[in-house]
Amino acid sequence: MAKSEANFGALLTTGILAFSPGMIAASNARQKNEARRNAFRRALEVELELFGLELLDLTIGRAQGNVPFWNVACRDGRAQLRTMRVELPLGTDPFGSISHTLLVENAQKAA
Amino acid sequence: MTSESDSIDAAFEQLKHAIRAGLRAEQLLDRLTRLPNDEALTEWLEEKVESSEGFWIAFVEVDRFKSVNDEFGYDSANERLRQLAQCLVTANVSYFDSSSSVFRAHGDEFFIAGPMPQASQKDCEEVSAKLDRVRQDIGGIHIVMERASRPMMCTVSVGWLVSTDSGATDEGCTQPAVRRQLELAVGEAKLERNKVVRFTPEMRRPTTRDARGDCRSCHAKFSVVVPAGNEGDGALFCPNCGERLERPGSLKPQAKLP
Repeated sequence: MAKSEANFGALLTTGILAFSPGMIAASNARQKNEARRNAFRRALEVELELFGLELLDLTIGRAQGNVPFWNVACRDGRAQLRTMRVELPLGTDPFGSISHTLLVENAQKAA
Repeated sequence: MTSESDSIDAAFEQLKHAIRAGLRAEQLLDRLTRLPNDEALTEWLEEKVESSEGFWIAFVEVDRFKSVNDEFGYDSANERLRQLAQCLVTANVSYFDSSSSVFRAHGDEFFIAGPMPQASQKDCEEVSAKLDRVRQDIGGIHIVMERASRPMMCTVSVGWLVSTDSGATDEGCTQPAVRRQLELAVGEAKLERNKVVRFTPEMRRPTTRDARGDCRSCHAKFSVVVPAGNEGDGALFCPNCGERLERPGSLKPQAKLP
């Protein structure tokens, strides 16, 4: 029994090695980025709902001088589309708390 | 015994993770050319914009590709695309550094992109010159097709930009904006074909009243202003041979009229 389990373990290891380590590393980085984007978006969605806004689109951009901004599209309670561009201070992490606060503040004004 | 089971469980987890990674990597590859696909390009652009890393990107579109499809069929056209992909990969390795990549988004639409931290004039001139060499290399390909009497040449039109070009526009540098801007630049290049054009913020999308393209019958270039109120169903006719042209609504947007 112990021997067959050991063989099975060796087989699994061979299976893992069949995938390139580079591919797995790239996938890990990709998953991490996706998770960060999704978490930021979800947190924003929850806050916007408090103002009666449904988040439709959130796109990051860079303006002149590499200033980061978010393009936000929302739908209000009367099904009206609202779009806004929220510029962030240069060097701000787009997925950080300052960015989140600025987005919420601007959405509140728009609501 | 328990430790063996634990190690097998751990190996199983690793294998599941590796399989997921493999499947995801496969999703990001184009089946025909095995190049990264449109989704991979979107991801690449988003990451660059998020990280504020400067970059350059070129949109490479095959000239008169539709006529190859129509005349020689999809198999020949696919073979042409595979050869073009190979040429782009070779050119990418020869002229650009290892951090640049080649993508195939759809049909005859290829992209080459790489980081450009400084975007100095010298850097931009260098990329432009290298892209011109890529264009020339592709022009040197002679593709043998089963149904063609002689080997066919392949030319491409290239539109390109640097992230700072895109950032200088009103819409800014976003993933969808970069794609629109590249379309404008390649549209400008396609007016003469076999040309490399860099995007400038002055390029604009034409109104529905500007129609331009090639006549399918006599291949003459046309540039027509459709009368106001006639955009929906007004047929256009080639000024050269009188052949009915495509409806303006179905024409691919091109760069501005001079």
